Amino acid sequence: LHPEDSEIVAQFQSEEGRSYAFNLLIRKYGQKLYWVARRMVIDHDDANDIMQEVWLKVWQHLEKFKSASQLYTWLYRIAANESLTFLKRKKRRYLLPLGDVEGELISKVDSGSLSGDEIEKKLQKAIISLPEKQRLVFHMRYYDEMPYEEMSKVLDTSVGALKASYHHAAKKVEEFVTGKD
Amino acid sequence: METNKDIHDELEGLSPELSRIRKMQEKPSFTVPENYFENMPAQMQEYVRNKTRKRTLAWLPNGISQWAPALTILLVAIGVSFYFLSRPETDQVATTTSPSMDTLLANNSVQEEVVLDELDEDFLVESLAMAEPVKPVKSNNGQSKAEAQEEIEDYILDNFDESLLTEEL
Repeated sequence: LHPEDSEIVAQFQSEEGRSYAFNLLIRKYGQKLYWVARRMVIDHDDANDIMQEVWLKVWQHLEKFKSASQLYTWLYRIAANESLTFLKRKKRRYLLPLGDVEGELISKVDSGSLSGDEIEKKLQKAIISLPEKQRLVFHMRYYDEMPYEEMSKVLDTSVGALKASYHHAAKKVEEFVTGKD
Repeated sequence: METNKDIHDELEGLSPELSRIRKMQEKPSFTVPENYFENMPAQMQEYVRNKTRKRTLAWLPNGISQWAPALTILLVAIGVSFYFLSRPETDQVATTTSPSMDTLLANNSVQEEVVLDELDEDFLVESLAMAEPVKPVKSNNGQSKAEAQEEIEDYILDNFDESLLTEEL
């Protein structure tokens, strides 16, 4: 059983309870945030690097965080932004076009990062073929079953735009998986 | 607010195939190192601790260490400026005020080391030869010629035969 978000935040804001509250927070949300990053970058080490940056940001800014009711949304947003930033940085560092990053992610799916069956590998490859932000939208809805309202807060995008994006993404993924394209 | 059922129904309407796959597998089966999630809090806390540790120079008072790089650059700049500003002046003094070698030797006003530094070797040998008093030549048993001469004279005076001198005269 995890303590309430408001309790964790209150404890974090007191000097003596900060480390303990931080530990509780990672225990409560660490795994969920890890999957946000892992689904985006496929590779475990990359996801772990993203997690380190995510928790560093949380440590630096949680003290000023006011609305504990939206803590998970805030954490999700940090993880999503860090994942997108990681992919952008990777492209910039190696001067890779978008297709090459996709190719690298697909090769990771084939090379043992994913232990699932063929259908699952095909599904992952289909999702990787989506543009990065659309991929994030698809993950939020398909895997995390997040309501559009909450997605809107995380991505700072209108509900209508998110609906359109998800519907479009679902169609593309279906076509890829069923081989209709 | 949407429920999970709403979200499932939406997917079913969009793509029955994806909905079927979703029901079979809720999460992608990515491989994760053993005990990764158990160790995650400790690992993340360690990373944050290292990243947020203040890098200070222990020997500098608090608040000054952040200015240490700027202070170092400033000190180096001052040192270099001082060196270049003071160099031409030193050279001028050296050329205009240094006395000739003869003057130095004559008035003996300069430290011997300074003079020796500026002498050439031949001149030095010659000067030393002239300045050094002649040492008495030692005989085989360690006596000087003068001492030997004195001893001979003493011997003669001690053993002088006055009658012989009278006869000869």
